[in-house]
Amino acid sequence: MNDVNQPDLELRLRDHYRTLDAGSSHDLAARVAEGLNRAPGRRWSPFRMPRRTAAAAAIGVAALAVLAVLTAPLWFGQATPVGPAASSSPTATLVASGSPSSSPSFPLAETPTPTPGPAKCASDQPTTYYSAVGWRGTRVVVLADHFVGCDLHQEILSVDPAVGQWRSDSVLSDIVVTLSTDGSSIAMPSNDGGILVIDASDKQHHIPQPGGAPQDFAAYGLPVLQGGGYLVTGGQKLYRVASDGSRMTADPLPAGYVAVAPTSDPDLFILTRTEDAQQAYGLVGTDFRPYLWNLRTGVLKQVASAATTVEKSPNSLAYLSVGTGWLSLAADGSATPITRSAWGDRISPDGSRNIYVPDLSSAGVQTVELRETATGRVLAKLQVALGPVVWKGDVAAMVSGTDLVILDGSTVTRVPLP
Amino acid sequence: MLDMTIEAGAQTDHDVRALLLARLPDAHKLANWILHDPVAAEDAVQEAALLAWDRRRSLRDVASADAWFDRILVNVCRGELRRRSRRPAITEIEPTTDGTHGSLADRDELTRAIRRLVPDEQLLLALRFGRDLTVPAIAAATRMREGTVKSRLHSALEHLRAALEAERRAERRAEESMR
Repeated sequence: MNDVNQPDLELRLRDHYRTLDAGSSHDLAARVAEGLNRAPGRRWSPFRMPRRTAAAAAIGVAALAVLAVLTAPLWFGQATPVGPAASSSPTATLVASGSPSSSPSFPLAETPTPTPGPAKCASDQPTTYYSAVGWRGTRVVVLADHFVGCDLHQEILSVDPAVGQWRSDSVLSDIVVTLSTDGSSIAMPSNDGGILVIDASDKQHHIPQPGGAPQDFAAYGLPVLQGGGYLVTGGQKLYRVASDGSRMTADPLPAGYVAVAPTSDPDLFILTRTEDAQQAYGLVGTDFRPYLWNLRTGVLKQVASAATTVEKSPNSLAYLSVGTGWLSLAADGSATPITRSAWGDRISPDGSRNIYVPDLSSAGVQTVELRETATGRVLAKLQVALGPVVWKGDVAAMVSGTDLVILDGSTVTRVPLP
Repeated sequence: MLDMTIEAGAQTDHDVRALLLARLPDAHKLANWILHDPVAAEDAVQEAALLAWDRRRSLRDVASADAWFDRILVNVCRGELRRRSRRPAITEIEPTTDGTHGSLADRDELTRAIRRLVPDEQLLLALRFGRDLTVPAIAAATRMREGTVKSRLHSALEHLRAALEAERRAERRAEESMR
């Protein structure tokens, strides 16, 4: 019966799988990125919808929306008339600690969101994970992920290490993945496709998604602009958000290009071709052709054949990560190869200090050293399970175990986490 | 490899997100090997990525991130194969009846034969001959014992031979009925 011998069958199978074409999946990365950004398992989201059921679900959503409006009083336990109630709720995509949103002009209808099914992790103990986000003035900002059963609640906390008292800056109603801080405010994508900014006085500002912008607007990052404020990566215009969240400007880009990153010169930006950004996994790690663009003169110049990421540089326009290492980009658009660690957050912004980690493969506690880059002199040694490091000048902060650890020269300060 | 870009001990949400997004092309390929359906594979990868995100705190060692995500994806695909085995197939590749015997016809024949196998056999073949995993690696990915993997792989190949023969018989019958 079996007319295929085993080696032949195995060869055929290998050949079969090797040549099996998965086809293109242009929107998979975007869908997953959006899903991760917006609804990581706790809230209903169209981004979690399988492609095959999305169309059917759209009809269901429409029906649900009608039902929601009709039954709004029941959902909210109120006996108010149907109609105005649906649109009268304040923006409230982010619940501030005692400070209302300062942008009342963008009301959002609060549609009841179906909750997930029975919690399979209901027996899990409540746990909180902390990660350092950055510095705002003298305060270190930390994102707290509170897991209670299957639910995740996020909170932005901060502490002045000299005082040591924690403060809750914001409780987030959306689950966010990436936060940016320019040292004064905090910016993040909001669940409705816009941007939320918490300003220096903890007031929240909601910037709506511009008309005609793609669904994944602001999903690819909000890098900090030179002098403060944020750039919208992937924008088809040069969208710049003011540090205080009061406005977003939109300047036209050369046709066929999108914004990738700012540089240390406020007039110079890294762009790429739209097709590079739109390719599968574009702007999330796939090579793109980097161009340096001058906002004032309009001069556009390709600066490398391909790059994967752009990072801030203390002594040039920017660092470009390329397949073979790093390039330092000069103001004239020339790019010079440099030796640089892949882990930029271990180096202070001015490059004068770095954190030496003996065993990069270890996630456990180990002895790390704060060193002077020029001389290699060890300024401080400490036992930590190293997480992300945030710098203010040459002062480093990181979460380790139950403490926030501050490294300032030879002084090591531990502030117990709340 | 992810290990080149994600440093151990620094599994911030940003890192895990980057890790998941970087895994997508490879994950899509693996899911397609298992499911033989690019669209279903996309859905499986999406589901796996979101599940992985939910469980991101369970990733303790970045060096094992590939295996960690593969395990989640394999389980999602396994579930899909099981669901599929309980319902009539919606997409079927029609047998080639025009007498061509090129690689496309061979592929179709092999695809149909693989789909005749039980879900775990389909899964094991994809991991062994698509992903080129060793038996211990398959055992780790599927949480089966190594002995179980070996015996199921053996039976999967036996069943595949039988399924191929059945496909050929069906093809011959179709050709005869065309004459």
